[in-house]
Amino acid sequence: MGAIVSLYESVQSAIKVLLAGMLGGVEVAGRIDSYPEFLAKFGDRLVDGTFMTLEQSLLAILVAVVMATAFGIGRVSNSMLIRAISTTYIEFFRGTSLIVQLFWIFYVLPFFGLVLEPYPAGFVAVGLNLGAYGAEVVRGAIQAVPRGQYEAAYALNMSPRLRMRRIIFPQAIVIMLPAWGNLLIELLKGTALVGLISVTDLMFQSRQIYSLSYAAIETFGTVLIIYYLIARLVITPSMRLLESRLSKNLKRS
Amino acid sequence: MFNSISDYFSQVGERLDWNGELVQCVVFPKLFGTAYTDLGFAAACKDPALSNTLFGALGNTLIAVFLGYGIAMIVGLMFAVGQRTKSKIFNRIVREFVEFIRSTPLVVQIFFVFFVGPQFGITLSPWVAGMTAIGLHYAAYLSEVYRGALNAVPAGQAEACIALNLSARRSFFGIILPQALPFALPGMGNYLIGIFKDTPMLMVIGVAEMMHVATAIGSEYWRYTEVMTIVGLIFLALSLPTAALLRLLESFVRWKLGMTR
Repeated sequence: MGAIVSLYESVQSAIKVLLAGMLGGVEVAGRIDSYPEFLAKFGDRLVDGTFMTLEQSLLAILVAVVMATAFGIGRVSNSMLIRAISTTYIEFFRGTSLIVQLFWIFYVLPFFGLVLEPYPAGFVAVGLNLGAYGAEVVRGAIQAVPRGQYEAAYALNMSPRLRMRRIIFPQAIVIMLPAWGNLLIELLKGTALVGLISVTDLMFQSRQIYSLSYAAIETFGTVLIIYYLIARLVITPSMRLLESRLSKNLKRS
Repeated sequence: MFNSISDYFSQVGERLDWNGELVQCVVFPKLFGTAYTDLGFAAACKDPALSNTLFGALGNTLIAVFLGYGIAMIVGLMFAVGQRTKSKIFNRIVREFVEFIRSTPLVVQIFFVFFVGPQFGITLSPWVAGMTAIGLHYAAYLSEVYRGALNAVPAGQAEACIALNLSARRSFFGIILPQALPFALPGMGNYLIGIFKDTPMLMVIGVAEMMHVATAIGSEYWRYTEVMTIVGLIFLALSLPTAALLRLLESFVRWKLGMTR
């Protein structure tokens, strides 16, 4: 774990050094006149913010996947109680907005004795919100697995649990992956809100940079492009890769 | 109805806390404007001071929803049609623009629209900037819905229009668009609720919608519990029935047009 953390930190500082090297000749006076000057002055903050956004997204993805799997399967459970709990969770988190949930977790939970730091409150809120949307995706995918698969598992005398684990869920994963691609982009966009409870993510940094420089188009333009690049160059290709990997074993005409 | 609800909350607020301790009622009158209950709801609506209450802010939220959605519906149609023109390059540019809007966060877009204007000497009010940003963002989403719906109309319909020598405008607005509507309705309904749930983001530039007022009330008394809970409940109370209503509307339109599932 320690090795991973130190690797992560060294990657982060390597990017900063690289950025500083590329902008080596640029001198920063008090006023910012050009884009290289802007980058030379605020590049470090942008890199920090980007990494914070990536951290928050990654942790939120973990929360979302766990919640979506649990409540998506719960939604098709035979037990009415479990179905009711899952439906309540899904409707609650899909029915209110992410900002409300974020503020509720951050400001109201302390009232009940559960104090969360901004950092965990941020990714937990985003993860819970997107987990509810994901649960509907999981439910849809489970129901889209052909009926014959259920019957075959039944004929082989599998218990419902074993049937779900070995037959239904692996096939459902392949069906749900394209929808998850969109959902993960929504999640990335959702993490932009954690800046409102003072997590120092990209959005938070952009506000800070703006208040220091008043260079709106440089600041927010750069931040928008960073978000776009994360979505298009990290999330979409990795989902495509996962899709082709997983569907290779499932040849269905 | 309004009187009784507000009275109820003001009494509960006066008596006890959720911990069962006696507290002064400072939050609840602020939420529903109890001071106005003697005058009735209509009088309360006319008073500008009401916009400092949660109930007045709900009105602002709804105005933002309908303005934003109106912009999104029209601009979204432009985006959708812009991807069906004869020029491949133009289609590609519009497509990339829509993709860009769709995969970047709305909050940053709101900041961008609000703060970039002054740099070029154009100062936008929070409302104008907010409506522009949210309208454009949802226009990108709606254009995807429209695009799918337009593609779902059988190609024979467009060919028939050419055979009948209808003008491009008449065939689009008279033949293709009405038939695409039932395909577009489910997606449009989802994004109406989506825009409602995204209006709190307007608080970052100071539009006095519900969440902005809620945080103001919360920070004034340093008590967020009731305000945040009530805001959450208002969101639930509006979005869940709206979702159910939209599903009804959708099946009604399908039935009216003689489409069976």
